[in-house]
Amino acid sequence: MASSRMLYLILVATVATLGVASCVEGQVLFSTLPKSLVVTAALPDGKPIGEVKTGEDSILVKWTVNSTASVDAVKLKTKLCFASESQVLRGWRATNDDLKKDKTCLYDIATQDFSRTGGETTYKLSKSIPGAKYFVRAYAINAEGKQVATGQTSPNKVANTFTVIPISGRSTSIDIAVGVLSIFSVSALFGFFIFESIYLKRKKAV
Amino acid sequence: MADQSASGVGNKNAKGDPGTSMHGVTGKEPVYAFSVLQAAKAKPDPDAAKFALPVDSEHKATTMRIYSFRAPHMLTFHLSWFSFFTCFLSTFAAPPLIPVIRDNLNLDKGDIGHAAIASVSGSILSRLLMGSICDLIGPRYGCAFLVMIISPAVYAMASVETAAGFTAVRFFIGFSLATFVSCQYWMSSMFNGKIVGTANGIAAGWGNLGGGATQLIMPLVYALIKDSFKSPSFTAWRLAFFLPGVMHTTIGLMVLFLGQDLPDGNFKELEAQGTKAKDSFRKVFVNAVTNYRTWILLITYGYCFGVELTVDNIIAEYFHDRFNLSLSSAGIIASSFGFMNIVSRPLGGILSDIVAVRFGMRGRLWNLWIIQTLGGVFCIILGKTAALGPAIGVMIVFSFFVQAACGATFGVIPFVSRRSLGVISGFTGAGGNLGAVMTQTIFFTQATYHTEVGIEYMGIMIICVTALVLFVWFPQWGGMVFPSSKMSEEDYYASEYSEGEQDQGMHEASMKFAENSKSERGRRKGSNSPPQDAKPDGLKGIKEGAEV
Repeated sequence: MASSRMLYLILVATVATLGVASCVEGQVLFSTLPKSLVVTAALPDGKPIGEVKTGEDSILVKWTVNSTASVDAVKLKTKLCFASESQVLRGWRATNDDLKKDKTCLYDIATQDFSRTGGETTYKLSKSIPGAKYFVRAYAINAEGKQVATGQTSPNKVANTFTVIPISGRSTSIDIAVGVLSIFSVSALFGFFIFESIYLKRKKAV
Repeated sequence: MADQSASGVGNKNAKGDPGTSMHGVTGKEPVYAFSVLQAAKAKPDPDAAKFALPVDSEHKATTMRIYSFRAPHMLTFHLSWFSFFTCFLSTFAAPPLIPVIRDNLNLDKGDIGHAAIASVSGSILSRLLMGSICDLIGPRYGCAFLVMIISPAVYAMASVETAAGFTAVRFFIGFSLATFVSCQYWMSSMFNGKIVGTANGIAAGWGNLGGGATQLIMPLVYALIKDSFKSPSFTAWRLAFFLPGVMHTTIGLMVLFLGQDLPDGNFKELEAQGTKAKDSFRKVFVNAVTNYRTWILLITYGYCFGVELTVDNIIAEYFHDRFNLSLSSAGIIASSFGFMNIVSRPLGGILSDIVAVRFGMRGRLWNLWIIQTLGGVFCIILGKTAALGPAIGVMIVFSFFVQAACGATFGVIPFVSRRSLGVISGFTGAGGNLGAVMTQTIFFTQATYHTEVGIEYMGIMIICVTALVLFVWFPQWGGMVFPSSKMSEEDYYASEYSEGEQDQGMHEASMKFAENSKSERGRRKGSNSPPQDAKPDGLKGIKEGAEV
C-alpha cells in the first residue's frame, strides 16, 4: 500500500512539473510586434523573383530599419515564410499569433548582426525546401532571444510572393534499381514455382 | 478402421470438414480443452522420433521452444511471424516519414488521409481471400506469393511523384497484411490444439510489432542515409524504402526455400487425402453471416484492431507536429505504441482465459468490454493531453488496452461457431481493417479539426461501439447482462447444421468441441475439471473408425 501511494505521488509530481514547465516561457505575439523593418527580396541581379529553383538559384534579401522606429536588438533573423495559398489544408504550416507555436516561417535564411543602417544577404535555396509560394520575413532579436520587431516582403501573404520549384528527389539510378529489384522478385517467385513443378514431376517419373 | 489418414490437409480433421481447416485460427484457445497425453501414450509413433519437438499423431508439435529454429515446427513459426512482421513494417513505413514525404509530393491533409485509408482497405479483401488460397495451395506458397508479389509496390514507393501515385502504392502495399491469415493457418498446421492459441497469439502479437518497429527503423534509416551519404532529404526517404523492399524479397525467398506446409512435407508432395464428403462452402458461409454475433464482433474488432492500425498511421506525425519533435524522436515515441504488442495482445487472450475459468463466457465478454472501453477512455485522455511526458505515458497505457482488446476478442471468437470458424475469423480480421478505414475517413482526413480533436472523438466512438458487446448472448452460457437459457452446448453447435445434415451425421465433428466448451460455463462449487476423455480433433477419425 505504501509503495503504491508513493508511486501515485511521484506520478502526480511528474505531471505537475511537466505541466508547469510548459508554461514558464513568456509568449511573444506577432500582432504586438512593431513593423519597424523594411525587407525586400530579389534575384541577385536585382530583378524581381518569379520562380526560383532549389539547389540552383539564389535570392538577395535586403533589410533596413524604418527611420522613425527605435529598435533595441542584437541580431536579425531572416526567414522564408509560406504564402497563404500554400497553407491551405496544411495544418503543419498554420499561422499562430504566438510565435512559439507559429509555423508560418519554417526555413531560416540567415542570422546576422543587427545594425541601424541595414544589411543584406544572398541565400542559395536549400534542396530540402518544398515547392510552394513564399515571402521573406525578418525578425529583430534582442539580447534575451526574444523578437522585438518585424518586417516582411509581402503585405498580406498574398501579394508579392514568389514560387519555389523543388527537386523531385528521384533520379535515374533509383528508377533503374526499382525496376531491376521488382523484376528479380517476381521472376524469382514464378521461377521457383516452375522449377519446383519440374523437379517434382521428375521425381514422380523416377 | 474407417479412415487411417489422420492428418488432413492443413488442419482439417479426417472428414475434411471446412472450418476445421481454420480451427485454431484464434488468439487463444482454452489451454485445458484438449489433453494430448493419453493420445500419445495410446499410439506410439515411430516417425515422431525424427522431430526435434514432441509431437502428436498428426506430427503437430505439442510444445514450443521459442529459441529454437529447428525444422519444421519452430523454423516455420519464425518464418511465419517474421513474414507478417515484414508486411506490417512495409505497410506502415510511410507514416513516420510523412513530414518529409508531404513536402516532397506537395500533399495536403486530404491526400495524406486518403493514402492512409488506402493502406488498410486493400487487405479487407485480401484477408477474406487468403483463407481459401491457403486451403488450395498451402500457407507456404500463399505467404511467399503475397510477400513477393507486393515487393514491386514497396520498391515503387521510391519513384512516386504525385499524391495519386502515393495513394496507389500504399493501397497495394496494404494487400500484404493478409499474411495474418497465412500466419495463423500455418501455426494451426504445425502446432497441436493445446498450444495453438499461444502460438497464434505470439505470432500475431510479434507480427503486429512490425507496425511499431517501422516507426523506429524508418526514421533512423532515413537519418543515416541523409547524414552519411549527404543525400538531400527528398532523395533520402526514397532510398529508405529499399529496406522494406529487400526484406520482402528476402523473406519471400526464405519462406520458399526453408518453409514447409505441414510437419510431414509440402502440399504438393503429399498424396491426396481421404475422400470423405466435404462441407459446402456456401453453407458454411451462410452459417457465418446469419450468426449475428459474427457481425457484432466484426464491428467491435474494427474498434480495437482498427484503432491500432489508425494510430500506427497517424501517431508519428501527431507527435512531430503537436510537440515539435524531430522525425527520429517522434518515431521513437510512436514505435513504443507498436512495441507494446510484444505483451499486450497475448495478455489480452491470457486474461480472457483466466477470467473464463471462474466466470466462463460471461467473464470473457465482461473482460472484453472492460478492456476495450478503457482503451476508449485513454484515447480521449490522449487527445486532451497537451504536455509531452504525460502524452507518452497515456499513449502507452492506451496501447496496452487497445491491443489487449484484440487478444480478448479472439478469446471469444472460437466459441461463436464451430462449423464456420475459418470464415468468421477471416471476417473479423477484415472487420478490423474496415474499422480502420472508417475511423481514418471520419476523424483524420478532413482539415476541419486538428488531429488531437480527432483522437478524442475516436475515443468516444470506441466507447460507443464497444457497448455492442452487451448484445452478444449465447443461449448456453448467457451474455454480459442476461443469464443463459440453459440450452446445452451440443444443441447450440448442432443447430448450425440443418435437420437433414444432422441425419447424415455431419454435426458429429462439432460434438467433441461442444463437450470441451462446457468449460465456458465457469466454475461452480464442486464441479470437475474438464472431461477426461477429450482428445484433439486429429484423432477423431481414427477413434470413430475404431468404433464403427
